[in-house]
Amino acid sequence: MNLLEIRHVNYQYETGGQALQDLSLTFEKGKTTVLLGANGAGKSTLFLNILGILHPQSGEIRFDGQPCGTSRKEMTALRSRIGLVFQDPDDQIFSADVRQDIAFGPLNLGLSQEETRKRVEQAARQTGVYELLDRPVQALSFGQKKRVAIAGVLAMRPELIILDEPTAGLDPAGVSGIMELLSDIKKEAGTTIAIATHDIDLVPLYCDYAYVLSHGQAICAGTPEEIFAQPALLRAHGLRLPRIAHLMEILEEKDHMDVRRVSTIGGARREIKRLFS
Amino acid sequence: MNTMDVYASRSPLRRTAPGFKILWAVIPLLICIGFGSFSVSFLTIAVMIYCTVLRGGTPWKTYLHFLRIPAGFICIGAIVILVVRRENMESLLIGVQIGTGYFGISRISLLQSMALICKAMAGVCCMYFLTFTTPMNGLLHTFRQIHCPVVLIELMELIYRFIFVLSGEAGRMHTAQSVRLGYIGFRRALHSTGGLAALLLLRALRRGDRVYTALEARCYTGILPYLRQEYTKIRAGAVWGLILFCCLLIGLGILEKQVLGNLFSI
Repeated sequence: MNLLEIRHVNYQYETGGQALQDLSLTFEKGKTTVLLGANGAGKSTLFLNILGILHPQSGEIRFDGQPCGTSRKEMTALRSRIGLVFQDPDDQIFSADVRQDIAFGPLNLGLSQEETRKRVEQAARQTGVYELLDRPVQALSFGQKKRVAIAGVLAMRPELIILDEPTAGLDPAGVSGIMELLSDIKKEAGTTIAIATHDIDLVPLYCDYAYVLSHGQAICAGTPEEIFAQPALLRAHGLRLPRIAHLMEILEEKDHMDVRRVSTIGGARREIKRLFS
Repeated sequence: MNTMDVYASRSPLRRTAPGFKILWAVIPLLICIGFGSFSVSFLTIAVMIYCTVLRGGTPWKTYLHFLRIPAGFICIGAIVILVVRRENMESLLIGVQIGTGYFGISRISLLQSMALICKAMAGVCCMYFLTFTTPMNGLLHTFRQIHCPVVLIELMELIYRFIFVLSGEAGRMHTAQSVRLGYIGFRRALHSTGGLAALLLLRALRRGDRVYTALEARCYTGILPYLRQEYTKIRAGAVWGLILFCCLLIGLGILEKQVLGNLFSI
């Protein structure tokens, strides 16, 4: 079932550039969908359109089967069900301490002080920032701030969480930490996840469906296996194959070995053992 | 060396009622300024240092480091009062003749400047007690309780948060300019500083836009909501301690005025 549908959306910047051109996407409920695209492909603009911060000139956005309204009340209802985690946590965290910032969302939704307190602690535990609740925000590292930003969105218990470049600027431990966190959220609450990234090596590990965006258009769509079966298309739009898939491609085309085009280390290991046995 | 609020967030006193801590800092401060006498200032400094370092958990080294800057300013200010101009050398302890008058230090100006230093340092110690033991959130909590206008409180919260973001950016921009020799020579330094200021303003405006977008995405209603914090109840002993302390200060002030009052008059 499609939780979010983008239908033929066109958006033009005030300055005149066309950001989104006849874009149609679907986000399936309970799955992780990734938007791949080079910088400037329109991913962030699309997210702002989904949340009603920008309004498309034409086209329709449907959430949970209903078209998204433009009135204040409808937009607030929509934003309580879709959470957006911005790329720079310093844009999102505004409060004097961590606890107040995570509490911002639930309090805006009208929850009681007691209920908010419970949600803040739960979100903080889930994201691993429980010990940081009383710290001032400027004392946190970048990775910790990212987790606090995610906690702030989690506390609102949205059905869909959109993350704009969640792993940008993180060290390897931080990257796998965030992606594990998202997997846990999906498993525990059935939350639908949408990610914009150009960290292509994450895609085969964590994502169920992928779209490739370029200059505001969807170039291709499919499962990660289907996307990576078209390396020339990816390269033409500023992307590349995951390293393992690239290796398999070279082994097949240059060395004429009989390997399947896998994209994960586990798959490569199986292929190598198969070749040797 | 961390900023003061990091120490505040770790202080053992962070959970005590911030309103009481404000009274503890401000009332002695006003008494000190009112009397301006040595014993009042000394006692205040002693009590505040005890409260900040021994009870408040601030490390000694840090506290002295942070005292250096206000101490520097205070001493510079005291020098202005120390040096006076007189018509003749009689009232001056030491002095030189410059032009038609005599410039030097008189007994009164010496006592006045010393009293000023003590008074000002006592004031600094009072405020440091507050800053080193009370996180920003606590101060805002108290302002809400006394029904300070909500707009001011929200401004305070946002300014506090974004000072650090902007000063970090400014620091990085300054470094990036310095390593490209942007501050060699006065003219170039001026040019670089101007560029930094202009770009910082632009970045701040753009960031403000993005922050507003992020607030909207989390259903901002127009008011920044507040999650009530729990603070420990003030013990009766602490209240009596404050009353006793203030009475002691006032008593000392009156006593010193009577005993030493004629020192300041001539």
